[in-house]
Amino acid sequence: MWASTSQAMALADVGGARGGGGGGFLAPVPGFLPHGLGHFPVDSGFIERAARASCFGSGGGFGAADQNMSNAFSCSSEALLDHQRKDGNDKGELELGRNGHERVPSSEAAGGGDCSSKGTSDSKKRRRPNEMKKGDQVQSSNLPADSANESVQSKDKGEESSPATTTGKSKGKGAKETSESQKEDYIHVRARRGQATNSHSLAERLRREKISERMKLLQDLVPGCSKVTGKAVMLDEIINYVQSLQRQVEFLSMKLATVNPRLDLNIEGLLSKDLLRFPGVPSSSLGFSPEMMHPQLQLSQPGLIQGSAAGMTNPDVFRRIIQAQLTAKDGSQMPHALTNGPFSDVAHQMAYPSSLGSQDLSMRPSQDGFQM
Amino acid sequence: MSASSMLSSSSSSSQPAPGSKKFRHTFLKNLLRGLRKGAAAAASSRAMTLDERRIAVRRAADAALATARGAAPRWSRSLAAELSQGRLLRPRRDDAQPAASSSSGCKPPPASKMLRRIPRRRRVIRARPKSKATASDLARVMARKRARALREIVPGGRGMDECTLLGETLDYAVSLKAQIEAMQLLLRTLIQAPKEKNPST
Repeated sequence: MWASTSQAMALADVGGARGGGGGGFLAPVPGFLPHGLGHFPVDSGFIERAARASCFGSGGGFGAADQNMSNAFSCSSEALLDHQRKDGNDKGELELGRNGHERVPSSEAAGGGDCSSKGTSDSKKRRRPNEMKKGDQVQSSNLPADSANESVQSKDKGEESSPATTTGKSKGKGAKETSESQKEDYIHVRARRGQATNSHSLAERLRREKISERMKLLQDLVPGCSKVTGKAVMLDEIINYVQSLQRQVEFLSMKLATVNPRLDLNIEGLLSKDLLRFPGVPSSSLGFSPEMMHPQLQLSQPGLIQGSAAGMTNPDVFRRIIQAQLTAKDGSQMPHALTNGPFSDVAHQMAYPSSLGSQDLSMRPSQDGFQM
Repeated sequence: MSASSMLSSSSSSSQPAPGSKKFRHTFLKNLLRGLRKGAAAAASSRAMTLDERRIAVRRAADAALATARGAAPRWSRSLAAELSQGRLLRPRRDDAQPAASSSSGCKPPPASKMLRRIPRRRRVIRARPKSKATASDLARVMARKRARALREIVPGGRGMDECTLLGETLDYAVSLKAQIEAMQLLLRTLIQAPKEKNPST
């Protein structure tokens, strides 16, 4: 406790003397309510997806939204190897991201319905129905612990709300509530028994639940924090983690600057190798549209990939360079399964599995629309 | 403003989830493009210092990350705003005027969020009850300090309440991880390419 205090002091001192944290974690200012409510659809969508995905983090293979987040949370190296699943994800991610957050409720509803239908006793699943309760009437749930929620402000919210949620779930909220609560993007909180029901405490409780939910997500993300309970220590870990990531970026950029005597070494066939390394190389639509318009130009081979990635630069020069590069290597590493007319000869050289072919075929029709 | 225009004019995807490989691919493309642009902008005589190159690479990487992530999360918007602010003032003098005007107006997307900033003064004015440091007080203080530290780390954290701060931290951490992976891959490729070419030539 004291060690972490001193660490917090050190952090604060390092960060600067100015007070930056006005609204405390433990005492959210009610004045934020109007803005906070407006944020719910935006933030809750992301978090709901993440929360739902973390339900099935181990299971996998559930749905696009979940796999998206479960892939985000699984380690990077495994994520690279999991490209099979990700191939199916891209479309889902496309939908989720493209329409901003309007589709989030629909995907949430789909995910939430399935989530409840599974009937697992995951604590996260229990937490979400509690948070997404509808209606304003007081619900008769026996949660004596919740009466302490309002008064105690220093306790860890996660610890307190988890017994609350478990008992709340045991009361028997059905899947119906989950699905119907997710249809709206306006979150109604149902007061549990023993809790004050005026708007302030309701909103406060809502904020606290959101915060604790996000803390759980962060706990899944930061490696080695599964056993850490306590928001302060968790925050410390998060801060350390993000700082280490930033330092890593600095270090890598230093290495990159070292490797390049001049910053234009990238042109030389890098992209081919990079795209090959990335499992399931996506055929970028950037290069596709110009390529398609000039069929059979010099596109018989490898220029496609690189032209795609470097469409903004001079494609011809680039393609020639890349061609030279690739002919030096084994040319069988064509990641594109291009089975269309001018590229049929390329398709025959394919060493990649046909799953990529289907992926490319799905990409081709929506050339400029796929990636944007 | 330059931040939003940068985001809108970029040809990278606008609905990327940071955990996807598509995001990494987009980021790589943006990074290479930015590096090429940086190499072209800085005349070959300039920026030969390792430090200058490193800073240019770092900035290109940040810009690529913010662009690849899109405008959805708040941190990417503020990161893009920071980058475009700092960059315009240095290399080109003729852009100093629009840069000066944009530096103030450049941050409307994050500035509008900053208007809703947590009223920090309230906390400063409040008298600290030093009589007894109860556990709750200590916990609150600790949480505040950590929240402050987190705000300074995550770009654009100044204008967020704590709930969104945590969400943004999540997104930012995932994106940083993807950025690191992509850059590591790039480095490996850069280092291996000369080695592979040597036997063939």
